[in-house]
Amino acid sequence: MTRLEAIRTAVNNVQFNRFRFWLQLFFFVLLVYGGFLGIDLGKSLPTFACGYNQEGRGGMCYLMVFQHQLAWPWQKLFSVAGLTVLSGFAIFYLWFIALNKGWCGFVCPVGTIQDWITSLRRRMGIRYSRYSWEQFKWLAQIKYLLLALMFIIPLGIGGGWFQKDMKSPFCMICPGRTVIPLFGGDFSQLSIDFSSKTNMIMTGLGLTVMGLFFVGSFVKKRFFCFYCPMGAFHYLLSKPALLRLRKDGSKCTRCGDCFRVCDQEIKDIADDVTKKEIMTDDCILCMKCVAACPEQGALKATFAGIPIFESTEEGFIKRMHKGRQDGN
Amino acid sequence: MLRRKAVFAAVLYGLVQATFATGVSAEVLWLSETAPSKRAASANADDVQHEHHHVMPPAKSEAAQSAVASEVKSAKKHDHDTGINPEGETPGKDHQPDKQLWLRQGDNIKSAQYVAAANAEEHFKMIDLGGQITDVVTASDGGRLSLKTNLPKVGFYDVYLEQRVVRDGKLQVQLPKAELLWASCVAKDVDEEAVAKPIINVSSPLELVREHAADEGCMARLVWGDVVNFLVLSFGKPVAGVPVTMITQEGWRNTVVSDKTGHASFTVIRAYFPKWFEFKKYHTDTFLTVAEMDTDEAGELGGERYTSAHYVTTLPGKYRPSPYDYRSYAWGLGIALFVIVFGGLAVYLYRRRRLKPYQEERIDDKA
Repeated sequence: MTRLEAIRTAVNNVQFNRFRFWLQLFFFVLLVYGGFLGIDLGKSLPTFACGYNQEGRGGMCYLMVFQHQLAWPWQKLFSVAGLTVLSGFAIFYLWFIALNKGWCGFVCPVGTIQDWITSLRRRMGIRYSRYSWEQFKWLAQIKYLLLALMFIIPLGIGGGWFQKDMKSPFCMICPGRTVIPLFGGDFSQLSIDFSSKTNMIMTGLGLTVMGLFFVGSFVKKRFFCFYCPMGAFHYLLSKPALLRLRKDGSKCTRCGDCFRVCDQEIKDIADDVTKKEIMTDDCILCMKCVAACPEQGALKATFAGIPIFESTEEGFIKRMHKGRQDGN
Repeated sequence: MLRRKAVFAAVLYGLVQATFATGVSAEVLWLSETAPSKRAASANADDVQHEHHHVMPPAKSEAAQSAVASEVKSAKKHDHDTGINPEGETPGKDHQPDKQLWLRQGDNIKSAQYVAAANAEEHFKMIDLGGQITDVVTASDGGRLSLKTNLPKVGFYDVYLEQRVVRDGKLQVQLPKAELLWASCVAKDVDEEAVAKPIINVSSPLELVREHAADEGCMARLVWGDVVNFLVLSFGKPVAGVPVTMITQEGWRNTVVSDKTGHASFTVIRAYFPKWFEFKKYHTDTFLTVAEMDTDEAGELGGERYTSAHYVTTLPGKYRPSPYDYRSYAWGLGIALFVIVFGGLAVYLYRRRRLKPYQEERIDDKA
């Protein structure tokens, strides 16, 4: 076995859950506390590194800047100043195409918090909930509705249709705004702003969403990711992305393991044996399906066409043994 | 009888003045970022004509000033519509590098008059965070003396004017000052520690410096309830025993005396009491800080001798409603808790209803 093959085998046989846990923890610390270490990855990150975490953030979520800029008066937005929007979007896109929706599965602090809540539920021995197929179909549209509103409302503010109080409308309801600053000891986002009716409603909605976030994440794996407009935005831009999830349908035995482990309950990953590119709009590229697939090469993650993580029988058996030892 | 009434009225007026006066001259000059109201579109001859001599006058303005000075003493003060916007200042001004200042006279912030441009130029000195001094010339804006500048980079800038005139053998020196800020929430490489350092004009005989909080940065805003600390300096050195008065837009005023380190502190008070649905959290109120100092110094200015000097410096500031007035943690936590508890209960009951009870199936082989 050559060295490359040895490395590939080691990667394919990795204790994936442990690897993913440590990687998520690393990115969580980087994005939530990196500011204290002078780290600043910029304001165009394709993940929920919340801008309201003012002291500690190691970078900022692009949606906050994007909404701010879309809310400029149209005269300014559609003038030379609009080049600022394009340059910011270009940087966001460059970040995004490196990891595709892997930003959701491995980097996003809000996703990490949900995984920790899931882990707590599992330790308490409480079963999780799943959506029915009908529920799945119509609930999956909500993220596109939120994405559309995220564009329309700031543009409407710039055009004078809506009040300026509504700027960054998604940030006002995002659970990242209320939850992430808590990790830095900032509780200021847990208040209702009574300065105007708009602010009162938006901050009230924000705290309602936060409550639903905790309840939902406890019983449903990656509850909020299903409704996340950032995920929808990612999917619309994902064609040229470097990190991809591929399936070789000819090797699939329809065992359904990939569907069973999928946090997002994506049936296509198991049912579709024709498409090569198997990532859907709900997928968070967490690679749990690849780790759980027992068939050699049926599922693989590639980076710029190079396989970096592939389903193998050996890896499957090793991970299942580990699972049985952990009593899961 | 009429004469007794007149004397009584004069004595009563004097008593009222003595009771409520805090020693601030009603003719103080100060620099304002608030534009005149649009209703008073342009100045007319009744605008305040101001007598003064410059510290470093250009030749032409000195000649113009001496021509104007003789008219000043009899100039009427006309109460223009000075146009403090009841809505407060336009929010978001600090986000723009273009700044405009107007010179105003009077210690009543709402009704202080805008000084007419007359025939003179005024030379302002602007100092940035790095100590770089820029000479800025004013212009007439609608007949009013105005200074327009485009700040080169994000940060604080102090603008100074010095005007001298001799009256009744006393040198009257007015030293209006303004602190300009260009703030940006997306600016990179802003040295927040440098921003916190005060800008000091070592050539100013009397100066008020607002001390910035260590974490103030470019985006922090004064709100009511905040304690504002001022430093009274003379040629860059702290001065003790100088009375410093803070005047708010609603006319409240408080006077403290600078301590041995030159510090004077005030708590900014609330002056905005709208109905709830008219409340604007970006409403900006103005306060004016005035320090006055008398010195024994003799000299000559423009051919007039003086045996003492009176220095007056002013520094306006802005403040906003405090978030504590419109933010409620009780309501916020209450809503979150309500959703968590009742949402959790709803989910629990839903899940219980969907649980199928255990049913044993027996298959009878003999049937």
